[in-house]
Amino acid sequence: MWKDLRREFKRPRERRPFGSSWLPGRLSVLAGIAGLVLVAMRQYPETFTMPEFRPSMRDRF
Amino acid sequence: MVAGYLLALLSLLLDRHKILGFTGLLLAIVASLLGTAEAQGFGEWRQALYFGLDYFVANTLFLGFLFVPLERWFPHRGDQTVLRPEWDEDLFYFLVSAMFIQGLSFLTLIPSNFVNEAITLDALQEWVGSIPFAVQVILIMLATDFIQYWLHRAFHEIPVLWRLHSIHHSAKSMDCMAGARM
Repeated sequence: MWKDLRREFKRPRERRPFGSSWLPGRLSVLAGIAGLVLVAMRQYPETFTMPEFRPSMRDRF
Repeated sequence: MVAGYLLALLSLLLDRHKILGFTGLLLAIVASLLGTAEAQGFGEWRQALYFGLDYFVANTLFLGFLFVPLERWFPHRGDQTVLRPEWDEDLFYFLVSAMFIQGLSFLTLIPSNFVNEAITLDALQEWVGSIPFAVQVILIMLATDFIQYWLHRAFHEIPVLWRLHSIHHSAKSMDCMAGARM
């Protein structure tokens, strides 16, 4: 699966014309990863955030 | 996560290759399920060790929004895509250096902490504080460039350091992420 995923991510331009929906697929994976990262930061702010960035987040927890 | 669901749906409907859509959907579902748990929040005492995941996100977004359009509009090699060969390797280095920002900052500041403790620099610091801000910016850029040049040169000239540093110059495709190798 990892190999297929890598191959799809690297699909050359001529094999992903406009309308092939390659970009939404790739962006959905990135959005999913971003979701996981944001959840990790929200669940464990002391482990996954820097103290310098925390004042802007502290009030939200 | 909503964007992840919608994009995955679009990809599954339109793309013949379903792997990207399925992976995006799976990641969004896992993130949604994990997100339902109660957040740990901030404890009363500051945790000693942390990983700069937020720094990684901020840095990736900043570099992405700044350089991906620039590299697309003014390419040196027009055939190079954003996800060029070895992009995942460089992203991994980028992730590791951001996650260990605490330790790397500590190591980076050891020399300056040593100098600050060994020499009294109050007069110099007061003088720097008294000069115009624009001049301070120029001075810090010159000083940083000077130190970086000689450090970089040392990494090339001294064999032990070159063994550590050669990976930094092993990238075959250049873009904003290639410098993350170190």
